[in-house]
Amino acid sequence: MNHLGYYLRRTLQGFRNEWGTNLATVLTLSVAFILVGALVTVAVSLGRQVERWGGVDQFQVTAYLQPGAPPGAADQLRQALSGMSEVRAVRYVPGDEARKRLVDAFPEERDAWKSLDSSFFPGYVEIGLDPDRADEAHYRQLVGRVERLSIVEQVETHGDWYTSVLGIHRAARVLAIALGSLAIFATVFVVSHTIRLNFYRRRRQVEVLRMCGATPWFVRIPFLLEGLFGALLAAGVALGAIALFVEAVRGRLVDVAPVLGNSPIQHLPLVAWGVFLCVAAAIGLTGAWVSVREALRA
Amino acid sequence: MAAGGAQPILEIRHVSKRYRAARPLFRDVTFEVLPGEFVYVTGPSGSGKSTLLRMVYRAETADTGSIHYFGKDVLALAPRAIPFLRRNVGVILQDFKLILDESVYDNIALALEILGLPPREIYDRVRQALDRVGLAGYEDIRAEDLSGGEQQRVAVARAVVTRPSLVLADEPTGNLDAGNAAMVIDLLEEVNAEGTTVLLATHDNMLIAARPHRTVALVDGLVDEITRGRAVEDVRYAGAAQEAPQP
Repeated sequence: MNHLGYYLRRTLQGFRNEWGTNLATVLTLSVAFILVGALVTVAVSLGRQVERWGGVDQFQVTAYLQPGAPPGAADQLRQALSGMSEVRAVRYVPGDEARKRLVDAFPEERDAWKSLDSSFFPGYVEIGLDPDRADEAHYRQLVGRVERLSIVEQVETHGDWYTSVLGIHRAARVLAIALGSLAIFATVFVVSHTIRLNFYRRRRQVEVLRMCGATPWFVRIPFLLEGLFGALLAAGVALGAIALFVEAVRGRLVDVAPVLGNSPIQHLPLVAWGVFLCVAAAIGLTGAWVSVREALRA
Repeated sequence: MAAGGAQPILEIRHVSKRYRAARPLFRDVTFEVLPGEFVYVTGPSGSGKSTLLRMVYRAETADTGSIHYFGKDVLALAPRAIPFLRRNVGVILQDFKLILDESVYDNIALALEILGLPPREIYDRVRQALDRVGLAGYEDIRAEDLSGGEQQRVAVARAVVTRPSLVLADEPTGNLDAGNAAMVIDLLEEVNAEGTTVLLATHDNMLIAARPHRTVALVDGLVDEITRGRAVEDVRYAGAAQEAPQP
């Protein structure tokens, strides 16, 4: 603990003395983090759209039951779908509730809806899908299975929409993972080279430290902290920039693409912030560790 | 065992070193240094004086032999133990080895930061060290703004601020004019008078003649002990008279 003050002082001094190199590194890292963060934001937002379209509030697959279907028809349907892991929820909506929903959705037509007999609104079953499991093949299989049931009169799907959004969501996720992995390698490389450069510029200092009895850790820690703080700073800049961007475009997207709902683009969740900062810290420490280890051996 | 029964602080035994197979730098170097002694290591350029000193603080290894410091063979130390050896040895080099873009205070405090001393103690000790080398008030001056003589005095302050038992000085006056050289030797003699052992490598015969102390000469790869008052020029003669080292 006696050395903590020294380490922090040396780290700040290193940042200040090599400010040009460090600034360039932080900006480079920020750009890489912004790219990855933006892609993660898109993936998260698309995930929410998929949830929204396939979620419990707006079921993607609607099965209309035959007129005069027995009261236990919904249970029969549920049983038929019980083995399918992509089915998240099966819920029966009776005719009265169907009418109420219509009234709520189009209040200006309230009187017209109310004038109709409740038998005009057939009961139906909403089938919610798990967006993480339901790909297009599962989706078609599910629709086929429901259509074959004798108690079902008609199946309404939003398949094209759903599968398109699902496809984009998956592509964004894959791209985010691929780009993220690439960014990790690239940023470790950038941090490593920056710290190596700083190390060689402070060669004299390292020689003096070793001559005076500094342990390798004593020499190493300020450089590790430089890598750590640089990467965390870059991650902070990137997260801040992404948050500002989301805030700025969210309102406009609602106007431009109302089909995407009230929240077309999402802020990264806190967990993602935490993961982002942890990964950045690991990148900073790894990059610095690699370069200092090599330099101390030389 | 040295005369008088005192345990040597430093025992150099049968140390040999060669960089090129055909030509050993020195061989079978053996001598002792008692606590509180001031000893010159002399010899012509390339005789291995600096290498020998570097071996004592394990910046260099030997091909054979042992160097016992406080009874512990420094040549056999595990790498992780070397920093702890160096904390008890002050080192002064010809090129001063200061961090030029840092202040005088920071240069000296560095040695104490490594020991993990509290800031208050570091401050007090640095002030004392600066007083001792005649640089009180120079704390905030950058090392690069000092003259050569002042830089070497800062190096002396850094070497002694940790209160080591042994100070190794490798050509400490090599880059200095006569006035500054005398001042640095004065400082080292003061440190020595307070009980610190000093091992000083120099090829400056005039210095040895002017400030006589026990002298160990490395000549033609062999060691020759000279006692106080013996002419340094005799060393070369004596060294040449010995059997020449075998390739």
